[in-house]
Amino acid sequence: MISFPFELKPSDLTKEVADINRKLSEGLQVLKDFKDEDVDIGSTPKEVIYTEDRLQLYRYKPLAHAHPDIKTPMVIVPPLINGYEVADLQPSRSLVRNLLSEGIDVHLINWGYPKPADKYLTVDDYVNGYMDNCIDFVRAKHGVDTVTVLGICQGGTMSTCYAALHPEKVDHLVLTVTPIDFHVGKDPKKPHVGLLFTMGATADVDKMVETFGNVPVDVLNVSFLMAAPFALNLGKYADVVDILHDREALLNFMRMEKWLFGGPNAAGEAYRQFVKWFLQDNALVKGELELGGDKVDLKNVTMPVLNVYAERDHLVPPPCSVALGEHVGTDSYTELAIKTGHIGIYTGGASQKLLAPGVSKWLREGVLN
Amino acid sequence: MNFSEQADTLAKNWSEAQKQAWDAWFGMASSAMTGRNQSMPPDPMAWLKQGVDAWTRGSGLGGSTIDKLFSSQTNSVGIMDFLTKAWQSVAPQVEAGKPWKPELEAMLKQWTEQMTGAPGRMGQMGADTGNMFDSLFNAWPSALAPGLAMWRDALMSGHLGAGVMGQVSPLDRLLQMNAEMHPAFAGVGEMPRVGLTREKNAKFLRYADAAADMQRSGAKYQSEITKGLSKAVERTIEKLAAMAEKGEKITSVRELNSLWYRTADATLVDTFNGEEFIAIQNELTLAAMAFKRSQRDVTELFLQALDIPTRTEIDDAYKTIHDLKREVRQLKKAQAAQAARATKPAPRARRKAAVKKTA
Repeated sequence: MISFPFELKPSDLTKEVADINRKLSEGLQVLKDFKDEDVDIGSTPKEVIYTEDRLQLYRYKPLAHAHPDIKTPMVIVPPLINGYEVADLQPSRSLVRNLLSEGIDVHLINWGYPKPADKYLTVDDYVNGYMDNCIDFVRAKHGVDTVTVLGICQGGTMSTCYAALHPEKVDHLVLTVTPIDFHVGKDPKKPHVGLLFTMGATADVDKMVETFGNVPVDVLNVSFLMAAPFALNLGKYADVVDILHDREALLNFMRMEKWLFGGPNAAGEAYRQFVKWFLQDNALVKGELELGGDKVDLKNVTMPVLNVYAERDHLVPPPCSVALGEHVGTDSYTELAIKTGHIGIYTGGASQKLLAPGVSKWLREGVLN
Repeated sequence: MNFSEQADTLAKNWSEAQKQAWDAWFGMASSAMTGRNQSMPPDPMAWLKQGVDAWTRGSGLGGSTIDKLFSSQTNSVGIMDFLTKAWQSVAPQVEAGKPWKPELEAMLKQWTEQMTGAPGRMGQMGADTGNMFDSLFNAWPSALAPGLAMWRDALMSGHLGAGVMGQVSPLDRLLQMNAEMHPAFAGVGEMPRVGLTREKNAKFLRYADAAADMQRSGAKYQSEITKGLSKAVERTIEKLAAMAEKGEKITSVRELNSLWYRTADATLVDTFNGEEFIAIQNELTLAAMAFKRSQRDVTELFLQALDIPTRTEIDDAYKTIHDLKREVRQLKKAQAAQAARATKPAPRARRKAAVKKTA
């Protein structure tokens, strides 16, 4: 039987409005006392062991004894288009801390914030220049021939290129939510999945880079927010009234906000090459990619590979990541699926118990189970 | 009570609740600024914004969070308002089991016209163009004002050809840039009238054209978004009608907003995936880039006349620096590789060669 679908008595409406106003009032007192320095991200203690131009290479202070079965240091490679702090957002949600707790010697490349003078940096500069210099430094510092490389998203794509070009320097390759094949993964039943790649497929990135130089982070963020415009621009903030009274919960919310909206601009030429060569031409899986005059042949990825992906990833659909398995030259290729989203793989509660322990077990034993 | 009466009652109750919400927010905003509650001013949104700014002094991230918090609440109010009106328009048809979409479509058509500009507003074009040029030029140095004002007048009059390429008074005065204007532009006034002058004038024309193109593309983009939102409203009302049939209820404002967010996001993402939308978005992006580049071209004319380095010239220097750094990096690597080879121990002599032959 049909009935009026609203049950909103005047008293209910008044109560709801009063409740929101009370929470707003309490929360404003908390919020207005926040200083930007209170919202600390990337806070795990570390030292800068190498610098080059904007880049800093960190070595994290150990949180546990070095595991005797993990022989080589690890170098984490973040993406260029987001800050490195996603791997170390807060003490209770930190891939870096969790890896340190497994007794791994963790290093991380902080790419820094490109200035206008950096607009001509290419993917080759990042992979064969900066990344290679960082890895050579770590190898020399520790007196080892090889390191473990862990790539985050676009950083994983770069790490894959690096491993294919310098396999003699990488003993293990760990990839997390890494796009490899940019032309798969669209699902008509889930139109928000892969929307970023759909929009980028026909974008005139030449004009963007010629105009902007370095592509502003705000332009990049607009495309991320379009996956769920109302939820991400309004709904998220409407719901924050429920945590306004809880300083710690609010702090965690703002840590994520700081990371989301405080990222770097993208160095122009590298951005152009990523969009054109990787996204639009899909040159990596086609075997057509060249960096520094050398072909990036995925068959040269001969070291053990652990490919971690997020089952609910709408930015990098799982097929984009797992495509790597059919192209690499190694016999030791393992996948780890985590039931979470693209960012949740680093910051989600469940991931804290799955990602770092899984990586550690795989490094020690070559298996996950 | 029938659906129509219930819908009217809902709208009235919501209106009352809104007023209470605004009163409370306004009270909070004014206490932030003056410490005393005051009565509602004519423009409550502006007052609320000032209150937010007063709260957030000194805290960038806290400030932006408060800003987004209030924006989300005011938007929630607007969404509830719109959806209750939409429901009011269809409630009698839903109750009677009759088609309700025509009623909703009529309401949405009116709303869409408001959002994307009715034909009557085309008559505002002249004033809009003037406003557009004012906003384009208002950030430029005041010394340029007389020259730019003449350009504005020439272009607004519609006699582009005469204003730009002919020998009429405004152009002559612009080109002469004589002593009664800022002396720094005396050199600009001595530009040759032929060849280079036409080239420079063409840059101004392209700037004006690019601004117009960007406005046109922006309007098309806005139209596509509005169509998507219109469809989202229709789908939300569909869901409400389905709830009515099943006897399900919306029991809070947040629940209705949550329904809207889910439905609107799903609908807009469908829109964003469409080839037509992507083409229009690309067109807007290109128009915006062309506008920005033409703005730079015009700015560089003045900077060059003042002997100030332009972005084009600085980019040239940046490219040289980048190429040199790359070369240094490669040389260092080659040097390190050579040093590594030099320190590598020589291979041991083969045993066969070391054995002396005996007779």
